Amino acid sequence: MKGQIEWALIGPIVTVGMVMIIIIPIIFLRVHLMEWVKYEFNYNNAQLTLLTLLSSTYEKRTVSEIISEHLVLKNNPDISKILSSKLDKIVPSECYKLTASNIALVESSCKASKYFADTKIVFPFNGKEVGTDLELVID
Amino acid sequence: MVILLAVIITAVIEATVLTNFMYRSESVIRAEKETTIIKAINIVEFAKRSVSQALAYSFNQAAYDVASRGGYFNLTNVHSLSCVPYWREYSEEKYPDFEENLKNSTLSVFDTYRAFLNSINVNVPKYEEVYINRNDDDTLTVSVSSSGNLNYKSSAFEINDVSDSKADAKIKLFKLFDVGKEVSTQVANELDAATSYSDAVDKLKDLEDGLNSVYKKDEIEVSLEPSRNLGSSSFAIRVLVKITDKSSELVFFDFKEGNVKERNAQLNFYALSGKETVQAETDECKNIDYKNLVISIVCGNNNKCEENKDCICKVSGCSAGYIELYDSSGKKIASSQVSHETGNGILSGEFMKPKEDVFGVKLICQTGGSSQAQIEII
Repeated sequence: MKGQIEWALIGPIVTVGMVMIIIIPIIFLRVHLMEWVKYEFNYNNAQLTLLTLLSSTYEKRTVSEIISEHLVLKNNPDISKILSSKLDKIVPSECYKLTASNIALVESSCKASKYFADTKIVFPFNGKEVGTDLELVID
Repeated sequence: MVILLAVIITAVIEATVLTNFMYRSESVIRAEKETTIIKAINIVEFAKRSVSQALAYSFNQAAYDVASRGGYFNLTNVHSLSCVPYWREYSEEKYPDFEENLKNSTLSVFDTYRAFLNSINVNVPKYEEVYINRNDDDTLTVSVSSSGNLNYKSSAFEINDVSDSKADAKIKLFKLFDVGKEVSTQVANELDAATSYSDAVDKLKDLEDGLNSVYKKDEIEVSLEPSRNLGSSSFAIRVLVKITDKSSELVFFDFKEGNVKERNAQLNFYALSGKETVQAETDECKNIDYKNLVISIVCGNNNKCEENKDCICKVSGCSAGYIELYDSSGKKIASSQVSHETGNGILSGEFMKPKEDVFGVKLICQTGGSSQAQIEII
C-alpha cells in the first residue's frame, strides 16, 4: 500500500518537473520579449516626442530652426524656456533632457534616464559644421 | 489508476499552458516586428524634416551669395570688381540669368548637406531639379526633385519614400532684381543728363532719396555709392548700387567677411557711365567652393566600416587636424591624424570590433571647426 502511494506521488512530480523544464525557458523567452517590446514601444514614443518637439512652432518658426540657429549663433537666451514649455506639454512624466553635441539645451528637475531617441539636426550654412546629433532622454 | 489520472491532468494543463504561451509569444513577436517598422518610419520622417530644413538653408545661402555677386554664381568671363559685376557699361547692359544661377548655387550648397543627411541611415538622393515659385507677397517657395527615392534599408525590410522636398524662403530676391534693373536704367539716365562730376553726384543723391521713399513700403533700401571721377578731361563715374531687403534678417555666411550672423540679403552691382568713356576697372573673382568650406567626415562606405579592417575616413574642408574615436558609452578609445597628403584619416582595424555596434567619430580641425559621424561595424 505504501509503495503504491509513493508511486502515485512520484508520477505527478516527474510529470510536473518535465512540464516545468519545457515551460520555464518559454516563460523566460516571453518575459524577455515582453520587456523588449515594452522598451521598443517606449523608444518609439521617445522618437515621436522628439519628432513632435522639432515640428512644433514658436512665434511662427519651427523649434528645429530655433535650435539650429541657437547652436550656430548662441543668440537665444530663452532657448531653455522655449523648449521646456514645449516638453512639459508633450512628456507626461515631465522628466526629460535634450542635448546637442553633448551640451544640455534643457533638463527637467527630475533626472530622465529610461528612454532615448536621437536624430541629426542641420545647421544654417556656416562654413564649418553642417549639423550635429540631437538626443532626447525621457522617463 | 491514480498515476494515469495525474498524467492526464498534467498533460491537459501542459497543453493549455503551452498553447497559451505559444499564442502570446506569436503576438509578442508580431508586436516586435511592428515596433521595428514604426521605428524605421520615424527615422524616415526625421530624414524628410531634415531634408526640408537643409533645403531652406541651402536656398537662403545661395540667394545671399548670388545676390551679393549681382546675380552671378560664376563670375569668370564677366566684368567684375571685388566680385561685384558690372550690369551697365555706358549704353551696354548685361543682366545675369539669376534664376538659373540661383538654382545651380542651391544644388551646390545642398550637396554639402547630403553626406551629413545620409548618416541618418536614410539614403538621400542627389537632387537634379530646383523649382522656384514667387508668392504674392514676394517671398519664395523652393522645391527640389530627384529621380531617386529616400531609402531606408534593414535586414528585414526596405522603405522607399518620395524624395521631393519643399521649403519657404522669406527672402524677396525677385523683387530685389526687379528693383535692380529699374535702378540701373535710372542711374544711367541721371549720369547721361549730368553736366559735371559734382552735378552727377548731386543727381545720384537725389535719385537715391527718391528711390528710398518709393520702396520704403516694400522694405527695400537703395544705396548709390559713386566712385571718384574716373575721367581726365570730362567725367566718368562707377556707381556701386546696393539694394537691400530690409524685411527680414536671416542667418547667412559671408564669404568676404568669413563669418556667419544674421544679415539682410543685398543685391550688388556696378553701373559705369559719364561724359567721358573709360575702361571698366576689373579684377579676378574666385568661384565659391562650398564643399571645401564645410568640414565633413565620412568613414568607410557611407559610415559603415568592416570588422577588423582599417577604416579610411574621408575628410573635406579640413587640411590639418585629427580624428577621435569614441565607444558607445562616449569614452575616447583612439585618435589619428588627418594626412596632409591624402586628406584622409585612418581608424585602425584593431578597434573595429562588432561588439560595439556603433562608434562615434569626431573630426577636430586645426582651424577650430569640427564634425561628427557615427560608424557601424559590418
